[in-house]
Amino acid sequence: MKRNARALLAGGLLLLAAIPALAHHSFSAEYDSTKPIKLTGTVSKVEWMNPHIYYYVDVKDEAGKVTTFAVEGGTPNQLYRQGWRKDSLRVGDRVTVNGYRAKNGSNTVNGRNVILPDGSKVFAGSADDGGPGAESGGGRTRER
Amino acid sequence: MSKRLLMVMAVVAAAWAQPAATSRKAPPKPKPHGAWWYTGDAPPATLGAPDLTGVWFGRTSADISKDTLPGQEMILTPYGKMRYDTVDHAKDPSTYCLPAGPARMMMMAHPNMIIQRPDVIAMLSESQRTFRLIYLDGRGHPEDAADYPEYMGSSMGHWEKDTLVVDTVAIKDRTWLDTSGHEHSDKLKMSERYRLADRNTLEMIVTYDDPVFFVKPFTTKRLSKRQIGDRIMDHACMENEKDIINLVPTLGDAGRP
Repeated sequence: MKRNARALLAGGLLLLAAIPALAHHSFSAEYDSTKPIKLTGTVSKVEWMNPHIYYYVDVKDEAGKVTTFAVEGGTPNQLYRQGWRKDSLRVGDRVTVNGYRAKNGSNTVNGRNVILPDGSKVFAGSADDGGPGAESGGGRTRER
Repeated sequence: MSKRLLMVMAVVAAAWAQPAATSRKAPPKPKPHGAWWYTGDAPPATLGAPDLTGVWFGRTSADISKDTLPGQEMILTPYGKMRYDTVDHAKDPSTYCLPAGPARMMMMAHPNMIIQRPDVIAMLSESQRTFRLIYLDGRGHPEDAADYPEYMGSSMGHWEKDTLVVDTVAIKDRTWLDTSGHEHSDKLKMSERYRLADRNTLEMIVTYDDPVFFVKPFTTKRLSKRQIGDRIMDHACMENEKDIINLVPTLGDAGRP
């Protein structure tokens, strides 16, 4: 019984972790928090520009067909203040991105974190990073 | 095996064990050198009056109704409630790179810089590189201010001891007061009180008075911290704008967590 309760609690915590802690409300005007997506592919382009950075990930399916996803990240200034630089993510990097799909069905994704093959994370802001807007880290900020 | 050889082997082994240096993240910044308001050091004793000059950042503007002082809660008029319940988050002026307005600009996900003179104070927002000016020379609001509302409104200020008191009118009704989608009419009057709670903490107390949207005036309090060694960076909001095309109408609570 005790064990079941613990498993239930762990499951509950997992569920909580899966729901994005939205720092800015208009997230939901573009992205669907019920549609998480995990992409693994190769970075083909990085745009370190305002109002948000974008990077493009080419994902190959089992049939060999390549789909390019546009992934939106944080604002360049916030990321810079957290210590990230314009070459922190590089063309050719093999990455796994956890994010949320756009509501309109396009291949646009709000990226929460980017994981390199060695397990290190890029553009993974957190509340502890201290820079302005850092509490919204992970590229979820929708304010400009 | 000689002691020397052992030592060399130990040094090589230690170097081998070091994790590969990663160049993905920048090294920590050195201690800043420059003006007192940049380094966070004590201002010169000769300064006399309080000086708010510096780069400041507080929390972002999720919902100002949660920042109210005791007994100062926000009460919406029936019209104000209807607007709040049906506000479309896809139409947030911030998303369209429009100026945030005089109150919300202090609550964006960007720092602000204040530059203080005895007769005028400039508040410079990194957000879209917009600014507002607060005149302290006693000129009064322009006679026709109400006929020509502005995104930042018209602001006149004066000092009451150590507190900067600002009176703002003629704020364009297209601005939002926060990210939650609290709107206002062009009847809005804002009274702000700024004070250094300590050398590196800026206290901002704002009273919002708008009989169209709110049953009675209400007052909020927020704190901003001096951003030691930081500066206002580039922010050309339309540089690579890609979101607007993806937005879908999202009304009221559907756009709030």
